[in-house]
Amino acid sequence: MKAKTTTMNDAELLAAMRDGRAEQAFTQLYRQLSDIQTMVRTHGGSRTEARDLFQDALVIIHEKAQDTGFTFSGSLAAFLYGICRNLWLAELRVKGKAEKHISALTAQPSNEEPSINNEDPLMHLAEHAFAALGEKCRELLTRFYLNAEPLATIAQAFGYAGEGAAKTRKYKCLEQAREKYRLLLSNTKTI
Amino acid sequence: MRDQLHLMELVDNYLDGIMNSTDRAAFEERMRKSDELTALVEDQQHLRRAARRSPARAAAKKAYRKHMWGKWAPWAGVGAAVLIASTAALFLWTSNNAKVGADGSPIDPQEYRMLTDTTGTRLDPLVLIIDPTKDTTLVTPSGVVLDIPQGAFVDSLGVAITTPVRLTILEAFDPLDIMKAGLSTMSGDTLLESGGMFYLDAQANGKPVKIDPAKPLTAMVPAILGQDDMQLYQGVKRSDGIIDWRNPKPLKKSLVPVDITTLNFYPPGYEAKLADLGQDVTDKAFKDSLYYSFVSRTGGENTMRWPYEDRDFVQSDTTWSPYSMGQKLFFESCAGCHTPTRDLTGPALQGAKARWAGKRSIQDFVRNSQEVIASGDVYAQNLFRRWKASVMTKVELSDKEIDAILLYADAATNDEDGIDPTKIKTIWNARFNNTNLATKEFEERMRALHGTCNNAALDAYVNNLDRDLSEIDQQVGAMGYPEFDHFAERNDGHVELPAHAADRLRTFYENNSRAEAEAIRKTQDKFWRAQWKQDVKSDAKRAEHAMADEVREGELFQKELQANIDTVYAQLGLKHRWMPRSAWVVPVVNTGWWNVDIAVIQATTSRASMSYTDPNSDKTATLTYTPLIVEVADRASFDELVVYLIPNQLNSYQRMKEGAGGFTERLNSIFTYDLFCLGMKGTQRLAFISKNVNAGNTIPASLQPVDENALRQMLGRSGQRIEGGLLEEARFHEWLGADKQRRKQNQARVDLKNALLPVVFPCTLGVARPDSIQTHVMKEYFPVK
Repeated sequence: MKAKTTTMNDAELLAAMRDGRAEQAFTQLYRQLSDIQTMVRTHGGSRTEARDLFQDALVIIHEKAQDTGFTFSGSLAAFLYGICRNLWLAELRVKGKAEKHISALTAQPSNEEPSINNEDPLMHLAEHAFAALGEKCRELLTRFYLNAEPLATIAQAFGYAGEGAAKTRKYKCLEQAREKYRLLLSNTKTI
Repeated sequence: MRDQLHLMELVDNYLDGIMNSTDRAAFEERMRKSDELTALVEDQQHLRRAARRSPARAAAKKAYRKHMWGKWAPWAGVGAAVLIASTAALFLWTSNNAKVGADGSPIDPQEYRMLTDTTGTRLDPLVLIIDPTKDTTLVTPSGVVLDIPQGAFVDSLGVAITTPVRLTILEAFDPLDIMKAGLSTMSGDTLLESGGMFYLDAQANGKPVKIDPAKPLTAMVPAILGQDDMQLYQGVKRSDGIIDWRNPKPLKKSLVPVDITTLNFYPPGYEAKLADLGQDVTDKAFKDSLYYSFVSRTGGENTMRWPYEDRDFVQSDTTWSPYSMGQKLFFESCAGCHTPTRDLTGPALQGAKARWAGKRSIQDFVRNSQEVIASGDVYAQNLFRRWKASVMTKVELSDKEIDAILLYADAATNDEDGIDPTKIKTIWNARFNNTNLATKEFEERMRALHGTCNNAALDAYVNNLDRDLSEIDQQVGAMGYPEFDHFAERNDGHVELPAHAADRLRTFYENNSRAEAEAIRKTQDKFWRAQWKQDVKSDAKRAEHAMADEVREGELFQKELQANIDTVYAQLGLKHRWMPRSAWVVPVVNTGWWNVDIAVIQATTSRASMSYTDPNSDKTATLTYTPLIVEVADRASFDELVVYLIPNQLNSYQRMKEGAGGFTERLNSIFTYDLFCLGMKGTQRLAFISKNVNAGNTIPASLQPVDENALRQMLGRSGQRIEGGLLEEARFHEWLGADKQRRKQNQARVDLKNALLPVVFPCTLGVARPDSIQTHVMKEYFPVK
């Protein structure tokens, strides 16, 4: 069976990211991956690096999209491209890669400079730490922090005795995450 | 721990911007002061973001797969899915013959043919002939270990086959082989992510044989790293020639027992802390005995103590939360007989407030239980009877303080202090070899168990050795430890035990833990009681010696005074006079000769030089005291160090005063002095002697080890008269050195254990952090009316 090939416009894409259909939105946005791969590969990177970078960019856009007031002036595609470009520039600087790539990439005309600050490098560690949690913890914290579900609903969904139990569990999970995060931090040399 | 959770909640409120401006300002002020809090806020900010990102991250990866799949689908077909994915599928044709098939019906010959049909597969079969009357273990080229128990193969009537059995094994573990073999990975309409499969057929005398359901073969398939959700499928060839994979079952990961003594069951951080404290971490016997010496707190040793000095908190009493105040008071006043969650000498305090609701005031009962009982309160009387009429110690606390204790007791989680070391002692034992516990998998859980502080969680594992680890993981996860759900996801199995072994070990565990705890507690009690007796004795001996010292010094003073008087009178050409017995209290009634005496007394007392000119005869008398300094290198390395001056003309000796620069004393010029130093380093005796020392000098004393004879000789040379006294003195200081060392060791023991306490019992002491922000919490418990 062939998948549906309806194409979403930018607003629909953002809406999809907001109401839990991120995968659908991302699948469409992946059509842009080849452009990004071209950009990264012509500037000293590999396909895999491009893929990871692209996924980072999707995550960042998803994060931005949660804020309903989030706007950008051009197209979502241009915005995505801009983020990837910034991310790759940051990567090049960290790695101390050839200056020619940096200047070439900086000089490249870009019709939009997305209002995105440099990605916090610690977020990668935090995400790793989070991913290392048990499934229940992950779900609990996601429901709490992303979906902002009330404690009572969460307690019911997980079969906890009450809001207090859910809250305690939540903070125990968070504390676990922090322990893992601290471990990662201590194992990572700061640049 | 609880306070840490509150603190994290505060941080959440702060980050969510739902604090009012006052709290916010207070919070930011605390952040400025505490790096730790700042770090917590930063970490939490990152982790909250990570939580929000996590679904997007997963979606991005999934979407990528879809994207790639979409690209390959037109030309690569089904096979490509195998390349993307990786899981193991097993192809076992007959295990539990009577039960296979989607509907549970026995397999008919038609279906058997479908199951064993290998036509079209282009794999090289591995053919082996085995003797079914023996246990056989095979390892295939792909690393599948196949264990075939003796008598596993039976004929259609269920009779064990004794003739040689011909095994045919096909395996396809890498995607290329799978595609080459034309094997598919469809289950119904669903595409499976498959990393490998194998096929097994067995025949005897050219006829297919069955596997005895009671003696299944065991196959161990190399686990693919990072793949925890493998399932076992059974393949059935459909009429269109495609194998349909049916009956998915979670795969149990096999547990490989190792020597249990090579595992590490210490609490996380125990060895690191020991190393920090400068202890020898290579000595397992030492580490064990130290760890096992932490019997639970009922042991009566000073393990329960409020961990922080009050001064950490005294800025203002309002910085206390009732919780931590209650906790502190609990440990001060109640912990001897109560715990929050377990019955001890007295009942568990959790829920006590609720139990007393509507009855007499519980506060009155706490302050003076006997009064409440005597007043005829039925509940109190019953309580008293139920607890075998043990009288509760009166506690002098205010209502509010008692409330705080009860609040703490109610809020304290089910966590106990920590995992009972005696339980570890019991299981960390060769007796538990070849059980679930003697596995790397359990070692991992042990680390997590220490974090739960819940002995019941440990008990669950030990008492269910015949069950899969994953099953117990779930059980413990349900006790409120989400990290164990994570373990459960790994589907770890169990180590096969001989019949009844689990029961035997369970009994051993229960009895032995108790016995061990009892024995350790007894040993410790005995030890500390003996030490206490020693302390009492040594205190008495010291006091006695101090008295003797004073007597000797008094006598010496008298002698020196007499000698000084004699000298001065001789210098003045006066007649010899005897001094009154208690010279320095004689009232001075007039001038005259008494003056001389007084001056001499003062000079002798203060050991200062004097000069006196007789107004009548114009003769001058002088006494000269000159300071002497004795330096001993590295004084701190001695357990005991004393320096004596022996005035040769007097039958006594005196101790030099110890100061920052060394030992000092002023020498009287009318005497000659010998110097004698005695030091103890552990049981080693060191001495130094110098004859006729010159005052005004600094003498470096280098003490050398001496034995008893050398010491006698040394002292003998400095005059027979006082040899006995000084030898005795030397012996006293030898004893004192040993005693000091004993006390030092005891103190070191206590210090070491106190330092390790937070590691061994993480839930006892890791509780309240002095820098927690308590004001917000305070409001929650004591709302402002």
